[in-house]
Amino acid sequence: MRSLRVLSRLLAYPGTELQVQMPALQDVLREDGFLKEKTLKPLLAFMDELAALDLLQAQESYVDIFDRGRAHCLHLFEHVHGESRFRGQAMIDLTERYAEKGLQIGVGELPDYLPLFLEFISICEPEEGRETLAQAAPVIATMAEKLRRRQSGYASVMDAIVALSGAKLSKADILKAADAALPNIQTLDELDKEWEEPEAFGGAPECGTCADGALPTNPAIHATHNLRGQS
Amino acid sequence: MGHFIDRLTYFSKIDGKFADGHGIVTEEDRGWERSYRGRWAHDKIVRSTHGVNCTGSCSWKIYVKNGLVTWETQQTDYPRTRPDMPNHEPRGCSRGASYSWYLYSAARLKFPLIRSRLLKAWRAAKAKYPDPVEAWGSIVSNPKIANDYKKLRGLGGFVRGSWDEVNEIIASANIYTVKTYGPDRVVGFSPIPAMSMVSYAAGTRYLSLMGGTCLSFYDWYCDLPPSSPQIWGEQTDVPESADWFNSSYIIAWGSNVPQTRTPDAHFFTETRYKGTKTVSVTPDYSEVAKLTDIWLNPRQGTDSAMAMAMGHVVFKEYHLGKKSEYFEDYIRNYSDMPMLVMLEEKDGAFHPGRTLRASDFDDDLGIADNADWSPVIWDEHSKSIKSPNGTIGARWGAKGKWNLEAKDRASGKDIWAELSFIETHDDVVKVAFPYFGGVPHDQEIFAHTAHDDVQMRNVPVRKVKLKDGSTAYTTTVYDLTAANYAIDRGLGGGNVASSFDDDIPYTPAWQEKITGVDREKVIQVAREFAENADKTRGRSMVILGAAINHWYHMDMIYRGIINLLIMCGCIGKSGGGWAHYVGQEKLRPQTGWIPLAFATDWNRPPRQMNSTSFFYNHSDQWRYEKLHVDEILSPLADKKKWQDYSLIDCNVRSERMGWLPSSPQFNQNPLTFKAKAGDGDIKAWVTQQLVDGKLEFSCEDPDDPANFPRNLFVWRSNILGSSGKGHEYILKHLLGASNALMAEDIGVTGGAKPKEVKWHDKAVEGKLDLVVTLDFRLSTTAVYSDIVLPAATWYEKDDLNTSDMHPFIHPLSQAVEPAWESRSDWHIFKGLAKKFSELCPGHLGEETDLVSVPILHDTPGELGQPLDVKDWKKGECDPVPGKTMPGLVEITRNYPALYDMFTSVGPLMAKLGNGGKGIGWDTKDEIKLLGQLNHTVRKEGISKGQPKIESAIDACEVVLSLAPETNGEVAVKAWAALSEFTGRDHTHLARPKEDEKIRFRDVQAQPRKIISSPTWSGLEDEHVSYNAGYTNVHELIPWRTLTGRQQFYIDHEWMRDFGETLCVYKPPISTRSINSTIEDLGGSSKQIALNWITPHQKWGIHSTYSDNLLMLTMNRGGPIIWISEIDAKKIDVEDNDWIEVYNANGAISARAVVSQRVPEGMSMMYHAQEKTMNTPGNAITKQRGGIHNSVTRAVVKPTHMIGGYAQLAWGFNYYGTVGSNRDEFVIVRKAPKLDWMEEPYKEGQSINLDINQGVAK
Repeated sequence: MRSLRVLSRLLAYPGTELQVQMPALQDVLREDGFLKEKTLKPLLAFMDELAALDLLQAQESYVDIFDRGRAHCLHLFEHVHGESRFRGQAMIDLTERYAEKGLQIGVGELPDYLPLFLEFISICEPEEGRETLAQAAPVIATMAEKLRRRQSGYASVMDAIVALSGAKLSKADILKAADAALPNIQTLDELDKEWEEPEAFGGAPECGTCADGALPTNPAIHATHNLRGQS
Repeated sequence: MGHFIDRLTYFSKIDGKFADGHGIVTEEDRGWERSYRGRWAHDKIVRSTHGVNCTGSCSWKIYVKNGLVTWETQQTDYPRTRPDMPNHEPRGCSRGASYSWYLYSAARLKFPLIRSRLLKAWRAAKAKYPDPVEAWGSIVSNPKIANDYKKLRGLGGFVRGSWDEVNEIIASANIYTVKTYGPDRVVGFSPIPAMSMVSYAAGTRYLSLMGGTCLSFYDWYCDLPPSSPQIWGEQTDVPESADWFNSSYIIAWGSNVPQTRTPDAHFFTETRYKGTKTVSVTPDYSEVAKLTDIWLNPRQGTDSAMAMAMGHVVFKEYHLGKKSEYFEDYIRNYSDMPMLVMLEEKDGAFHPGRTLRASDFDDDLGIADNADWSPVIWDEHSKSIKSPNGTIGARWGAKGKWNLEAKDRASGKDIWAELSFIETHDDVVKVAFPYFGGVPHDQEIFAHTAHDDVQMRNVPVRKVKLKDGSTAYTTTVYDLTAANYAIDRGLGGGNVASSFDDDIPYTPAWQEKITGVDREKVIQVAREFAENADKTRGRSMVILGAAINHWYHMDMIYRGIINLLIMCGCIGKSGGGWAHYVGQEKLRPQTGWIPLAFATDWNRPPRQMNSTSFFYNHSDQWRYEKLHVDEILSPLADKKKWQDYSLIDCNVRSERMGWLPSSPQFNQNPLTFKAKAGDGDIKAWVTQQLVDGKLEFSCEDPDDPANFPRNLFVWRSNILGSSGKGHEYILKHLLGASNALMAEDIGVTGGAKPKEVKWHDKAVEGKLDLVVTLDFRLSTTAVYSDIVLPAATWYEKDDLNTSDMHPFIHPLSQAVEPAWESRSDWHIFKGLAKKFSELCPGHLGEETDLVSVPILHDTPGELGQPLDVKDWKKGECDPVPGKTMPGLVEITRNYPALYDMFTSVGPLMAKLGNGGKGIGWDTKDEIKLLGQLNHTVRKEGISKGQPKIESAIDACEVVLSLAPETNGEVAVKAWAALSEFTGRDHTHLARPKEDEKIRFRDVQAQPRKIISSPTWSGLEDEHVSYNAGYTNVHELIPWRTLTGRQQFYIDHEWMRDFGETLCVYKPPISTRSINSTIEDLGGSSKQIALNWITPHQKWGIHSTYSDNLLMLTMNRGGPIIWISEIDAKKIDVEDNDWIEVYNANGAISARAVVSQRVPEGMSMMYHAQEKTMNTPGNAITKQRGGIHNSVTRAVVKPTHMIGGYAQLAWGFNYYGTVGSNRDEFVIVRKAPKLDWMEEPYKEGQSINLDINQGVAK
């Protein structure tokens, strides 16, 4: 699915080539026709905007959004496993999925890097690809929501990925997940409440018991930490 | 239904047996095992460790699968100790176990980052100037462009850069700076080389080849105990933790062993199983307090009062009371107790003066060399004055007499030093002792007593005839010590105590008022400590640490304790001694590492600078100084002599006299001196220019742009987020960044201006043109940098690691390739060296540099001014480089060949040899070996034929081959070299290991125990655990001090003026950071002033791990400050409330931990909690809360500036000013509101506080 390749390119660090190629990428999206107008329109608008931006400014904004902190980290397992040691095994499992397709990672990136993952999906059979992508959809949708709250155009890219996955997600769940990850706290009391410790037993299941371990699933149940990184 | 219930659902029958029933055939589904096995499967295990700031030095197994690190576990293969002793493992704590996820977490730095404004300016400049060096010059010489990026430091705005481009920018900046201002303006900071010595060396090698400045760390952290050089001429030589097990009485004094020495703490508990008694001394109910038999809790900062009282008890009962023959023998032979001190008559009383020297007497007592550096004793055999073997004069005189044999150096005859004149005195005179505990402190928690500031006490004296015909009154250090402790010896006179209950300094009753500790407990512990030491011949130990060393007068606390240890004969004894474990972390193969690190294989000497004076001076902290010299002067000192001096003036004098180093050095580029000097001698020219005032030391005008440090490298360090005392001052003046400084300088407050330093009404902001940080995470320092280079983590590079806690050397290994675009420190600096060399042509070629070198310890130069202090600038003496002023050394630098030099071992090793601590040896064999191991350079050029150092492993081999600790052949050579000095054969200590050569692959296979070397004073032996001072006591090797012995008495003129010849009690200083103007800022909120204590934390190693989610989750997830229940109540704060902490230096936002652990009047913030983590805004400053050092400011101490005087001579991380921080007070209040300050930077927003102006009015 070439559209996924386009989205993959859009989520990589912006360079001159991306800006120059933008019209061609837009053409691909239109030609593919997988995206509905509701999703496509804001995406195209964002692409126009990105192409027109001073490159350094575009890069500064990218670094600010994606290279710093956990909120919009493009490594999917950051949102699922955080700094738990289960993340290592999950990455290994994902690498094995790639190997089954005869692929190896040719650059210095981790297997759960979203643009890389999208490229993988784009090579898969459509059915299999969609199914795999759908497993990651909750994480991506949550990121879309967080980016929207930040008024970042990158939200439209995430929305497009979710749309292409065909996943049926509950909007309420996504909002809840985004709230949990970056709560909009106004008062000290609210903050205290956020920091209350969960019950030792009967709360969130251990990450290690995630179904099939391999792919990112709903982040909401893992978002027991609301620590925020700042600069 | 029948079949449904009959059929097995979960089991099937075993359908076959074979081999007589020993084997069975099953068909059960074992698929579930695959995932279980897969979970713990791995491709390989690699040995590595955690490589900067943890002295634990634990070896770890790193599990790698598919090229990714999955987890780590503790190694368990340390070489065994001995029968009857526990082994070292397990070593490793929760912090180390959580490291692996730094590798792939969102916190990881993945690409080179650069400020977009700087990059934009760079690209524009490059378009205009094709030469990159000129391009850099065009940026920094235009204040508008430069300030545009400087003011954004700390406020985001990074873009990714390519390695090529950032290397070009950095190298251009370095070349421009070297060419325009001088190489010493390129400065680098990296701490604790022991934990990853090649990574440290990478940066310092680059800097040293360039002529740049390497900054010290140990003193700046204030972990450096100045008492150690003062007493032993040695810096932090301590027992390994296994030796705790050999002790039978341990006091943990201000050292929270289970929390901060986690992997070693098991020895502390194990030794209790064999009956060892343990005592803790901490003001709070700390973790170690829970572990020990007795807990003593003196008021923080008053520990020297308690130590003095214990000394009073022990000296009285065991020495004067003659309870221990062992103690008496020990102090006679191994301490300066019998040395003679001249008493100077002044205002009707005698003041303790300098020690008498052989040169004071007729015929110099027959001493042929260095008679003025040869202290004397009274010999009971000949009934005359003699100068014994082993003094500093003997060390640097004719060889063979520098030992601790009881012999007269002149005649070689046996002598017996008289300890006391109590029975043989000619007279008893009144001697004046200073008392500092009578002055009220502005904070009530520090109590004072009503005793006179001068305590007159009777002392027995002899009258001796001097060379000039005059008669001098003299007494022994022993007799002065007894009087100093105020022990009544029946000599009449006042101010002495006959009972422990007398209220006289320093009795147990007296200390009660100051420390709050019951006198009975103090007496009990002192007696038990001494009794144990007497019975076991020295197996009493004190483990001590940061808690008592971070005070302004830390040397008094430490000396109080060390005096106890010496008088009980514990130093140099198995299971005894002084166990200081903070911040230094022994680099065991030191002499092999120095050539690599400071490029002494190519050029000698390197430029090194003591950081405390550097930052005090160049971040303008001196402009805000509130401590006046007369406040800390001895009541016996001549106040007039000091009336013109502020603390910075003292530092300037010290640099000028060659005591402390200077960097930057002079107000002109040292590369220009040769041309300016013409045909004449460059050193003579510089000296004359200095005398004429045409050339000045940079420290005399730090706010002149000619004297700014310009480029700063920070690697393996988080200097701004951790150790930087006066954080906000550094942000304001060095970085020109947004800051929360609320203090006014003395220009505004109308304080007295310094006399030796030029005053500019307007202070400079943003002295540094370029700040480059290497790290694997975006630390606080990285956030403030212009360029951030992604460093390999500790599992992605090859390096070496040693510690003082155990005797092993083991590696960091590259378990996986550096992730993303990160590179190892070696790789990064090698790349910079290459780019630097490429860009040199047209700017720098072969240049002549002039390096100013302070008078260094362990060199013959340490015999500077023997009897008094003279300043050439004031015309008191001639300017003699290396004697009365810094040494001047001409060095030829071949800048275009810097890369060739970086990557090969230079010719000076074969030519000049190697050595350390005053001894040297030939090293041709090792260089030949290295040529074979690493191969030699074939390329034409300066390095042709030299051994290569291409990779980090090559660099490790250089260290291992050259060091006696890892090459037995070198060890034997080193001991032989020392034997020449002592006249005694020490080579037997290394002979059994002569053929042992430890290589990098060996330590990857298993940690290796190092080989005994004269660099250290303990033995790596199969029979004793490592303990410092062991060879001094057992091999009769002198301590490297004036007297050659452990010193109770330090006679330098400045020590006399500041009242520290003998140990005394000094209360904390008043920092005056919470004056009423500041308090007004709190408005109507309830506030309280608390003492500011910053201990090591439980959930991080300094700032590392303090941004690790696993560790944050185990605590409260962000910055916390501990306060007592009583204080919390006073300001309506409950546990976990957000509080604000502030004073004139800056402000902090954190949560309160309200705990019974903490005593009233004290607040504790575990140090180095990153302000990048969960730190909200502060209502006082309207900025994000700072780090623990936001409320501190460095205050330097004049006695730490002394140099050119035997053990009081400078050495890198050996002696010098220290960044103390615990005398500080802060105001604490409940936070009125919470503001996360997440809005982006607005152009034009002020970087300085409006509050500044408000306060000024």
